[in-house]
Amino acid sequence: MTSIGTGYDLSVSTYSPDGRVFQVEYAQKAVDNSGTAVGLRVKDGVVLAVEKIKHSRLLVPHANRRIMTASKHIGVATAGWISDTRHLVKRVRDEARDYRSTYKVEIPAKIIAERMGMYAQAYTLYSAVRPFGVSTIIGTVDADGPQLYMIEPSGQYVGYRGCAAGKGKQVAKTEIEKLNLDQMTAREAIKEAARIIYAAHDDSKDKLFELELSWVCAESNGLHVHVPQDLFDEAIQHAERSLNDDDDDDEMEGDDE
Amino acid sequence: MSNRSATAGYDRHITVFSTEGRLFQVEYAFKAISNAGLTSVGVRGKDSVVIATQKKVPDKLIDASTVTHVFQITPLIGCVMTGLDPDGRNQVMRARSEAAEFKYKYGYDITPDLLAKRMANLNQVCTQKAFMRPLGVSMILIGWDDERGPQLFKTDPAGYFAGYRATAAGAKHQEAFNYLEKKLKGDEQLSTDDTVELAIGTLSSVLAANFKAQDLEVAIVTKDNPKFRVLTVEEIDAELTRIAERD
Repeated sequence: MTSIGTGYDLSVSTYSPDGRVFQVEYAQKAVDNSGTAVGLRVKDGVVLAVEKIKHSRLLVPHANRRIMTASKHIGVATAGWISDTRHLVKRVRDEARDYRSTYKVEIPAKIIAERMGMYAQAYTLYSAVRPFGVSTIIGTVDADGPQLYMIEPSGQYVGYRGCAAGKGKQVAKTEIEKLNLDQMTAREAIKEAARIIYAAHDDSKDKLFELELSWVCAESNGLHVHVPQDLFDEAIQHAERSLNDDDDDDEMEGDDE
Repeated sequence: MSNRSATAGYDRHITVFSTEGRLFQVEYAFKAISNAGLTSVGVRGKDSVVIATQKKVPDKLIDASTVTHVFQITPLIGCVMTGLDPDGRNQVMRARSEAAEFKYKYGYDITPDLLAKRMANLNQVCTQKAFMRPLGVSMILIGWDDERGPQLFKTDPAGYFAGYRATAAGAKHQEAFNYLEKKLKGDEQLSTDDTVELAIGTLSSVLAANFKAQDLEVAIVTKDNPKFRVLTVEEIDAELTRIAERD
């Protein structure tokens, strides 16, 4: 069936004859056209990685971060429009701050995911607004351990052990499924996340890209921070090495850790 | 000939009737519920009421414990949402808020029928305002009413609601209805065990599937334990075993 809306796709407050809201589906396409974002929930933490596609060599390296922090311990990585991302991250920060102010504890992952899901869904109800063109990956460690959620433009959200969004989503998911996430440590996960982003990156389409890696784990003292430079360099080396070795997916390079 | 009015643009706007007096947007909202691909059933017995739905986790990477369509609204009332998940969560949040407000205003717990009526009225508003779309979900609500006993209601995007002895929503709701009508011909008041069995049995028959406990979500309210309770995987397994042994 063709997915052209033709007349039923002009506003988010309209169903098509087969019961679809096309504006929400189009918002999902905006996500699918952007750089890949990956989240991995492992034994002792959560790792987030983003393929930051650069449109110019003049951009300052490591500036224009795509992975953002809320409330010090919540990591937010997104695939989609960066401006919508900023709006949503502001909301995450406000929600976290208000929750802490009311309940005197840090907002649990389940609750922030629910709040962001509801917020995104609200923008799919009225013709005066458009849905967010962003898939939001939220990673944190709370009282129930490491948590990873992804919220889609429709407001749909689920908890994941590993998730991916963006251009290289399919490649990334295939790679993630091969990993033994429950037994992995955050240190190992950093290298895997880097490798997956490099694997999912399509050099023929966008030459310039920068990897962004962040984590929340015991080693980061429960805070969400960008991975320290030495581990970051190691991860890139691992990723580049894997790319150069014949695309074989079964490599377990246990040389460093 | 009814196609002509469809392309004349009536179905785009919710406040506008078509030439035959239909509200196309509301009908399309119903299609959205079927598109979601899940089916849910609810059955009311003599002293209990049960809801059951499929639990489909499409992606290996998803944490199955975070996937649910069964929600508690008050200690004695709960629901299963069928259709577009984000819209479902929106309705659940609203229902919780309405129930809490009722308790605050009037000093006693809202009853299932009043909550269902309130949710249905909210749904109707969406069918009359141009700038909103109807929510693509059907809410099957169960609860214990201390004057009337076990209660089962269903609301839909049109703003219609009714109390039922048994009902269904979702992709195969028509087949489920047919099955339930056959099974509940008379005025039998089922025991708790039979109610659970009928709910799960309906899903099995209509979806032609042999369920494992992880593929189902079941929730129950009974006279002995009027609190809305979601069955654990072990409890569902026990029920499935019991049903299998009966045959």
